Amino acid sequence: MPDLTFFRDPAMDRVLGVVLELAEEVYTLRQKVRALEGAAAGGTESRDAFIDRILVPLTYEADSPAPAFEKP
Amino acid sequence: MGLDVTVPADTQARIDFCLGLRRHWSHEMYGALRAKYDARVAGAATKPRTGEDAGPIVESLPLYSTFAWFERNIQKMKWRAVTEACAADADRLVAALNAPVASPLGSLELDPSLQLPAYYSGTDFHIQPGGVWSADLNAFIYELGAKVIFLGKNDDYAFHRLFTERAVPAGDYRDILDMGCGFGKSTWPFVDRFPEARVVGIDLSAPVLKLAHRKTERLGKKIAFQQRAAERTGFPDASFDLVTATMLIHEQPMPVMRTTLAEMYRLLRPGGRIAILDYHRTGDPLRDFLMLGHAARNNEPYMGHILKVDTAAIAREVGFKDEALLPFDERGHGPREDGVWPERREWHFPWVVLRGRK
Repeated sequence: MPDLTFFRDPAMDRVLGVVLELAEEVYTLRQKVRALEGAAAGGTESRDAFIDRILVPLTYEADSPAPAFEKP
Repeated sequence: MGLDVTVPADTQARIDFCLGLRRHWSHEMYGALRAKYDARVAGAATKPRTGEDAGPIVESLPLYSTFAWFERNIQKMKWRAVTEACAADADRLVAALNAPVASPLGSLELDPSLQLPAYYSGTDFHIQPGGVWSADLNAFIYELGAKVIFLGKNDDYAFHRLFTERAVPAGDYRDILDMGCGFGKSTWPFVDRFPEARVVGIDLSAPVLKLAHRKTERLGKKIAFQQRAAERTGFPDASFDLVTATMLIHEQPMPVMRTTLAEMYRLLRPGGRIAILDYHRTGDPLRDFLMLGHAARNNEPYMGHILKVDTAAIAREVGFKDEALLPFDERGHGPREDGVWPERREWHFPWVVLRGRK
């Protein structure tokens, strides 16, 4: 049974899924490295900052918007 | 050990990641969507008044597809992570679920002949694979998943305590029935608040009732758990003083929801009360539209109906008096007696308390 898709091109649904799986893997490895180094797990603030950082391209507004270029 | 799921470190990291994603989605992503929606509406000649009105505007915002995708897929990631945790220890957990309970305070009555309604068994509600009923392990998966949905702050089920303590009118209740009790989290606070009452919890799912019974015994509380359908309990007329249901009626088709309210009325003694915690539209077109979409994105096929009707009016139609529908703020306020929805920057579910008296 096909799952719900949300983007005009269903391939986008799959690609975003891959990106998120990779992000989850990075987070899991990050926690493992912290444990091996004997560092504290980092807590929710550290986790939330990590997630905000990787997902910010989805919602941010350009702080230096491209100017309107004149045709040379 | 026993009934507790042992979560490996890697899986715990996955669960934590889902919690973080959910926070980002409900705060940052919703906030950005809200801002874009407000900007679009500010420039519109006609302002949306309902969720349906808001639909075309919201769907035209590029961020909406992303918001919707995240809602469904975070939920799916969550189930994968909690299933992984439970499956790693499946044999021990299922054995614990079926182990005899020595000298129980309460009781457990399962009904192997009960035919699960098609509306219930035909949907993987909340996208949980196999639902909560099809295998013993699913009760543990559901329980662990329930903690995640509340952003990890629901370990002591403060949400349910708040409902019981603030939303249920004081009364001398001798017999209390909790419909759709699940693994007991909604039922336990009634034992604490009304220690003299006989408390009964019913649910369709045998696995969650088994988990409810064993967890309740471990907590030292006395509850009778029975496998029955809320819309057709089989209890005698006028056998309870308070009937309650938490997050139940939005999962029922509209005719079944109406039948369930009528069944509650039948079960109550004169003067008895209902206290139901569920959803309702808020009057904020954006939130109401997103909630309608949530129904589809979270495999809750009948929820859309409850967002379009007046459940208090239906309660009145089946016989209840003094019915009231109050927004419920789970952050500590409980029911808003002024009927005003709280201002909130982040996405949240539109909880309401439905009260009534026979």
